[in-house]
Amino acid sequence: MAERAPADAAAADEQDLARGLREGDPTAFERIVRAYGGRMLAVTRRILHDEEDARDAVQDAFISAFKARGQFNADARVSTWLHRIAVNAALMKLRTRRRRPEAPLDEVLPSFTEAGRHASPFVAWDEPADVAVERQETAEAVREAIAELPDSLRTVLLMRDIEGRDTEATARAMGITPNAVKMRLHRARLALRGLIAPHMREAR
Amino acid sequence: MTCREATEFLTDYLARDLPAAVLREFEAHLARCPECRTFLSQYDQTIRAGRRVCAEGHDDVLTDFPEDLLTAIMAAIKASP
Repeated sequence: MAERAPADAAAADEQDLARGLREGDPTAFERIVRAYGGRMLAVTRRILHDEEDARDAVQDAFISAFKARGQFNADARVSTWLHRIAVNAALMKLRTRRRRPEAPLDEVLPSFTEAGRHASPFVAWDEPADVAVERQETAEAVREAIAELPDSLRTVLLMRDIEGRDTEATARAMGITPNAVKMRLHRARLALRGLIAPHMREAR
Repeated sequence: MTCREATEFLTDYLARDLPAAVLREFEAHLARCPECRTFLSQYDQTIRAGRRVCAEGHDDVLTDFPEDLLTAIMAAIKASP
C-alpha cells in the first residue's frame, strides 16, 4: 500500500483528534493541547503582551473548548475552531484586567504644520516593508512594534488586519462602537508605521 | 484638501469606502503631493508587513508548549463537571 502524503496524514490525524474531542476522550484532548497549544499561546501572547495573562487565556480557552466540545461541527477544522476560542478568551482577559498606563505615541504619529501640510519630508524606505520582513530580524522588529502598541490599539489592529474580522464583529467582540474601531484601527496603523520606519531605512 | 485631512481618509481609501466626491478630492491631492503618496505607500506596506509577520509559519508558533501549562489544563479539565 502506498504511503500517505504528509498533508493527508495531517488531515487524517486532525479528523482523528476531532472524533476524540467530540467523544470527550481525555487522551485525545491531551494530544489536542500538545498539537495546538503552541499556536494558541502565540495568539494570546500577541493580543495580551503579557506571559502570565497569555497562559491564563490559553487555559481558559481549552477549558471552554472542552466544555463546548458537543458544539464542535464535524465538518470544521479543530485548528480554526480553537483559534477562535483562543482569540475570544484573550479578548475576555483583556477586558477584565486592569488598564495599564499607555506610553504616548505623539513621536511616532505624523505631524502637520498649521496649514495642515506634512511637517517634515518622509524618507523613502529602502524596499517595501512586506519584502523587508522576509528577513528574520526585520520580522522580529515588526512583531516587537506591534507588541509595543497600547492595548486599545494593538487589539483592534490584530482583530482587523491580522485576524481579518470586519468592523462590526470587532466592535462586538471588544464592546466598543464600530466608529471607535475605525478610529483606533487608523491610529494603530499610523503608530505602527512610525514604529517600524527606522527599521525600513536600515534594511540594507 | 490638506495633508492632515488626506491622512484621515487613508483607511477608508484603502477599504474603497470613500464617497465619490471625497475620493475625487483625495486623488487630486495625491496627484500633487509627493509626501502623501509616499505616506500612503508606507501605510499600505505597514498593513501588509503586519499581516506577514503574524501569518502562520512566520511566527513564534513552533515553540514547545510548556509542560506545566499542559498539566494545569488537563487537571482543570478533569476537575470540571
